Amino acid sequence: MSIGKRTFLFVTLALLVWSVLASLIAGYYYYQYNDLFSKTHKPIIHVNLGINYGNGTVQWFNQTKARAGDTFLDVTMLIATVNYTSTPGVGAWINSINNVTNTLTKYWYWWLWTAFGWVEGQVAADRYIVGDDETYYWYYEAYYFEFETGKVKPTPP
Amino acid sequence: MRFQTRQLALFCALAAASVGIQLAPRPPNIEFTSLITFTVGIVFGWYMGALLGGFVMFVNGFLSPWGLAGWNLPFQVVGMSIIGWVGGVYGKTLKKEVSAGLFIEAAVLGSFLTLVYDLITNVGVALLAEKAIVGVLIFGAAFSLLHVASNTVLFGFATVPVVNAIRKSLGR
Repeated sequence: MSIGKRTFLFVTLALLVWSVLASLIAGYYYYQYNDLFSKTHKPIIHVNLGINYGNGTVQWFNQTKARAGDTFLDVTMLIATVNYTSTPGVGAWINSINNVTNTLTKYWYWWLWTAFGWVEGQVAADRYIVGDDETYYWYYEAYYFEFETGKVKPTPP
Repeated sequence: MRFQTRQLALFCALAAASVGIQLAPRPPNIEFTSLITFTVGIVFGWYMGALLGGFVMFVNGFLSPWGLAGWNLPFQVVGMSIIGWVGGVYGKTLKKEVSAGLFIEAAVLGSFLTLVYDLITNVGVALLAEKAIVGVLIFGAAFSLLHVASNTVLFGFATVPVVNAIRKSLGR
C-alpha cells in the first residue's frame, strides 16, 4: 500500500506539531519541578513583603517567617487582613487588603523582585509558591501603568 | 484583483466580524480570527487572506482588551498573515467534493499554523524583552497548548462548513 504525498505531508505536520508541543510542555514541567524543589528544600523560609496603598503609604515586612509550600496569599494573610474571592480556574481575586478596597479604576496587583527588576505576578496570589529570601510587593494601582512608567519605583529592602 | 459587489460586501462583513470577535472579552488564547483568516484565504485567495489577518491583528494591537501589543504588533501581523496566505495556497488544492479527509486536514493545518503563530509572537516577545527564546517558549507552553488545542478542534469542525457557506453565498 502506498501512501500519497498529501497524506504524508499532513501526517508529517501532525507529528511535527506533537513533537514541538510535547518538548515545550516537558520543558515547562521540568522548570516547574526545579522551581518548586528549590523553594521547598527547607521547612522554614523568610520572605520580604511590601504593601503600597497608593497614597504614599508603604509598609515593609522584612524577613517574614513562612512555611515551605506557602502561597503568596498565605504569607500576605500572616501580616494583613485580606478579603478575596476564589474564582474557579483562575485563583484568588483580591478585593481588599487592610480594608483598602478595589474601585472601578484601582486594583491590588502584586509584583516580584527578580534579576530583571520588578515583574508583575503572572498568576493569582494563591497560585504562587513563595521562595526563600524572595521579595514581593502589593501595589494598589490604576492597572499597572504607574508602575511600568516609573511613576512608582520601589527598591527592594 | 476586481471584486464583485457581493464578494466585497461579504469580505467586509467577515473582516468586521473578525475584528469584533477579536476585541470582545474572551478566555485567553481562544479565538476565531485564525479560522476566519484561513477560510477567507481559501475562498478569496492568499492575498486577501493575508491582508485580512494582518488588518485584524493591527487593529487588535491597539484595541485589545488584553492591552496594547506594543512592539510585538509586527510579529502578530506577520503570524496571522501567514495563516491567511497558507489558506490561499491550501484552497487551490481543494476539490469541490467534501470528504472526511478534509476535516482532518483542516484540523492538522489549524494546529500547525497556530503553533507557527505562537512561535513567531513568542520569539518577538523574547527579542523585545531581551530574554532567552527557549525560556519564553517554555514559560508560555501552557498557553500555546490551549491555543493549539482549541484551534485544532475549531479548524477541524468549522473550516469545511464555513468555506461551503461562503461559497454558497457567493453562488459558486
